Amino acid sequence: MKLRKLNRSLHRDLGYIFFFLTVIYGLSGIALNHIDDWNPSYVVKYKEIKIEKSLKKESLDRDKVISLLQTFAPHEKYKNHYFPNETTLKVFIKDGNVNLDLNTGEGYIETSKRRPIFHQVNYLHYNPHKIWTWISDIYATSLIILAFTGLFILKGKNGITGRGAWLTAIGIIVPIIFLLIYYWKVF
Amino acid sequence: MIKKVLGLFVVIAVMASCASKEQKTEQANEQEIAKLTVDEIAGDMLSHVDKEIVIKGTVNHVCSHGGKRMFIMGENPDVALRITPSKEIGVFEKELEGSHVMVTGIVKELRIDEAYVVNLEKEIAEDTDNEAFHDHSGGKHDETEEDKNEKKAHIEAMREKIATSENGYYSQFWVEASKFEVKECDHEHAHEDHDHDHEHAEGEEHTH
Repeated sequence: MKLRKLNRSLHRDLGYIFFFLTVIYGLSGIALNHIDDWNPSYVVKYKEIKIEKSLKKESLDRDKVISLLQTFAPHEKYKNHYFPNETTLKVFIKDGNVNLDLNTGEGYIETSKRRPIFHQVNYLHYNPHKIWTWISDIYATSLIILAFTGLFILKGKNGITGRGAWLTAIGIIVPIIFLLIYYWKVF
Repeated sequence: MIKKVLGLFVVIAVMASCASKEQKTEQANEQEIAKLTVDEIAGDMLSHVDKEIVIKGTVNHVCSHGGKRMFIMGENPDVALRITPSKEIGVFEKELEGSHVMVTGIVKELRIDEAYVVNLEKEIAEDTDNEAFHDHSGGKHDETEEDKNEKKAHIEAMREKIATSENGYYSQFWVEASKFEVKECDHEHAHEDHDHDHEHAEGEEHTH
């Protein structure tokens, strides 16, 4: 009886403590699962630009590059620039960069702005600091404890000896089927 | 309750003071480390392997998915050096692009020989990520059949490079950063009069 009470208290308190971390890892998990389809950390925008005249690399000093930037991107803040080659100008702006072909006058502005919420949760998911490794290890261990204590919360027909047994079995069988098919290649 | 909160602040203050002392010791050590530019180190990476250096450069690219790699260049934009973060730094933010940075870190070397390439082929077959494929573009994340063919061609190029090397291997170098700071953009940073042969820091793999 005492053991079941302790089990329930442990499950409850760990659940409270790790509520927010579970939301963080859940959100970032979904985001990173689909990393091929989108950039979860940044909203990347791409805009084509065209200037009317061709320019010479030699004629572009810092002030001229800033003036040029004002003509096609007046709201962007100049940071730095360089010439990757004789005919290309790359300007770093506050949240991105501008690439311009000096001969054709064609180019593009690429901006990457932090995606709210997802940037923060992904930052944490990517293990940003040694201390965070400890926190996430504690969290991972607690998840295991939560899983086991969760099995013994209820008694009776909805507990682990009844309905709980069936649902737990489904949860075990699904990953095992995947392992059999894709990892051990049994079928 | 207030007492508890105050107690917590005292603990944080003590920890911060300890951290500050550590920082001073680090600053003293830093004076003994060689300070180099990307251009200075580019042709002589081998002699710095496993040594700590301080390197100055402009951030050209940061891998936008995980921020686990950034590339810095010097006055010559054709030469770029890959920087990876230590666990203490964690990740590099995309906003660093275009900033002048001073990076403290250890020079690392990856020797690419036939055994390495064979292993790489296995990894490609198993669709595993590999450091040797990370370049200026930050690596491919959404791999198509075309990308896989590109990787195969890349492997062939690696084999050619190994075949022409004197030691049966060639090296890729990068710096694992333990610390970095952003410097103010206080001077014109235009790179002029360079032919675009597109060479990289010694051994740096590169594809566009």
